[in-house]
Amino acid sequence: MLRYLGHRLLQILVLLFVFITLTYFILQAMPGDFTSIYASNPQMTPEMIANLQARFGLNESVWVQYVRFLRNIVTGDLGVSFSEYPRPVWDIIKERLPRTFVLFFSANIISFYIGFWLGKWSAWYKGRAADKVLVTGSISLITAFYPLVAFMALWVFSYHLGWLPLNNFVDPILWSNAPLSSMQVFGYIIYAAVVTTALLILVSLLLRKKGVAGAKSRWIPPIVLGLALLSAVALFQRSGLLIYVFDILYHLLLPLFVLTFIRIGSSLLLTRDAVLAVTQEDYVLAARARGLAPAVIRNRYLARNAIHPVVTSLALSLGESFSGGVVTETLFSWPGIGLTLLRASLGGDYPLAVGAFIITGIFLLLGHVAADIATACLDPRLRDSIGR
Amino acid sequence: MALLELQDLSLHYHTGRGVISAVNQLSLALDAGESLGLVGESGSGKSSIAHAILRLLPAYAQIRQGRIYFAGRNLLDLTEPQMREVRWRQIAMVFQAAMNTLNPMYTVGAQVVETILTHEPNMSSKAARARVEELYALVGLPCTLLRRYPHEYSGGMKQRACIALALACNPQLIIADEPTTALDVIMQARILGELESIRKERGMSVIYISHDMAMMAQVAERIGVMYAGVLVEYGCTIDLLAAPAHPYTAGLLAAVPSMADDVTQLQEIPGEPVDLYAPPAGCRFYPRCSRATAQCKEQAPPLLPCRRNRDGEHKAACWHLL
Ligand SMILES: Nc1ncnc2c1ncn2[C@@H]1O[C@H](COP(=O)(O)OP(=O)(O)OP(=O)(O)O)[C@@H](O)[C@H]1O
Ligand SMILES: [Mg+2]
Repeated sequence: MLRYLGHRLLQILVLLFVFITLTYFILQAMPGDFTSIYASNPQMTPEMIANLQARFGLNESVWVQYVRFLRNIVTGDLGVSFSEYPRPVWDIIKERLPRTFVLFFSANIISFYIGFWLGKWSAWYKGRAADKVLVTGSISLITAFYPLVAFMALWVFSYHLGWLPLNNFVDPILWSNAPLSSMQVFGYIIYAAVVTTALLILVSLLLRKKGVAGAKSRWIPPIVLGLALLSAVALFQRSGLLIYVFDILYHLLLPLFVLTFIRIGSSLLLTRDAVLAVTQEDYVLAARARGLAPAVIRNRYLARNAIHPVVTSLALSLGESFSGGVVTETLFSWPGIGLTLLRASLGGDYPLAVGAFIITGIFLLLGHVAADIATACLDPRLRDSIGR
Repeated sequence: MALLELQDLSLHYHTGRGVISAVNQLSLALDAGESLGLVGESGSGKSSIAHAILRLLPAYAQIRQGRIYFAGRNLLDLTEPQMREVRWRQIAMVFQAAMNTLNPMYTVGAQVVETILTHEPNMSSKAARARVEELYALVGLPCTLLRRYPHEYSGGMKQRACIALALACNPQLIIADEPTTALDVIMQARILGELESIRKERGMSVIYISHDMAMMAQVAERIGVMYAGVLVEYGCTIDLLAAPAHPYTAGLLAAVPSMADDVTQLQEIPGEPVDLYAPPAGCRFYPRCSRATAQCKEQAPPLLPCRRNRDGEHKAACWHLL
């Protein structure tokens, strides 16, 4: 296991180096630098621009800049943003990345959960009306023009019905005299979510280990979840943060819903195909011959053996969820890393763009490793290949 | 009364290329405690019969006529939940593809326990595990293998595990479809010997399915010979081997090295296997038969007792019995 991890880590480092270099030179190859936005400003004399360029080291050769840049990255210094000077790039990323991550991570988890469940049933009822509806729906979701769907959702839920905000991250008026910044409150929300999830996983593992059977223990995880959520609410209430927490969640709702909805299609079809492939296996026929209950065959035979491609796909999209979607974040004015990247690249803010690229790239690569490890852990035939 | 009785069973597969007549008007009976061997070359419909009995046929298979009586009930009339209780509890099976009949995601032990607990829900999982250990001892596998996954088993181990699995719920009938194909000759003899002694001890019935006449001679009390979906000969093993009545059976026996008087006499049956999409109207064997006449071409011979019959049990379907 350790050797395997070390090997993969080395691979990541090499890939990362290539990735950073490519990113750097592609951005360098783009015309102009951040001073060019001042070029049309008559009050900026060429001397002043040259001065600025000198100050940021932009007049030196590309190679000198590159080597200096590499050295900085290795020492963990992503530099200072040009456009939000003098804010450090890391500071900006630290603020934006969690927003993107929470949105896309939850959307992925929820959509895969629903997609897997629906896909399983769709395959089980293959050829029946329900299956046809689900498949047609999924294909429509996959082929639907995403921005249009997002606009329609905004129009219906926010404009027409007025249930949800015309998006953004928070309501600025509400937050004008908030005790904490939105970033801090958001941090607490993430903290609460992580603790709750960890608790749930722990409880499920304990239940499984104890081998507590069937009906009674089924209610324990939901109860734990309810209690955890209640205590989180109580805590936020006592610290007077509850309305701010709700404001953030309220703004999260629509993009989360749209993203989840649009992604159900692909995970549903993926699961359905995988389950149908497993249906042909001899061990499924043998399981039927043994008189096992349909639910057992569906879950422990079909779904369990079909999980491999679905988990791979999920882990990969979780890796991607750090880079977010420029489209989504633009449409919902969600100030995450995607929007930051877009603006930084267009505005010639190299340090920020490169920093954002690198961070998201690292997570993407980690996502690949996570996919490999997850599938290997789930399949006893592969488990040996990474060592126990 | 017979434990299992197939009456006039006809089975078709509706495939993209047409309709396959896999089993044609087959009647067969099996008493409790008896062992029956179904022999026939590849594609003669042996596995199809086994799957029909357990009602495991795919949706595009059609049983056009016939009845399958098991312990007095027609299995074809049962609902799916009723059938689930018959499966394994009363009729178990060792599958032809023993390699792939275990779920790769769980340990073999867990799968046997799962099967036992499905049919005996009141049993404690401890008792179930104890039973599985007994079964493993019975088929000569070490209990440590129970915690292993199927991919960690060798082919022979899997086959033994599948036999243990078939015995798990003490069924009245086991259908063993090529139970020893993955094994070498010595192992094959040992496993079959074990299975036979278990059968006699427990008074189970077993249907052995194989294309290997020599193997059948060792284990089966009665033998049914299949050709292209038709039961062409049926009888007590000794009678059938000593005096085969159907030309196809005679051909099969001549093709077995240990049974031909002299290896140089070893003969193959000439001709091509039947195209089951369009089987001959008369006797399905006539295109390959040296004794075929015009009658064979037009009329299918019924399965009737042979003339030189001792107990009236030896039957064959041929117009020109040997
Ligand atoms: N699932 C299926 N779909 C279509 N045709 C099938 C199917 N199963 C069997 N057949 C056809 O039915 C006929 C009988 O097949 P079956 O598997 O019963 O033969 P078998 O006697 O068991 O042969 P073998 O000794 O090779 O196992 C063959 O012609 C085969 O092509
Ligand atoms: Mg077969």
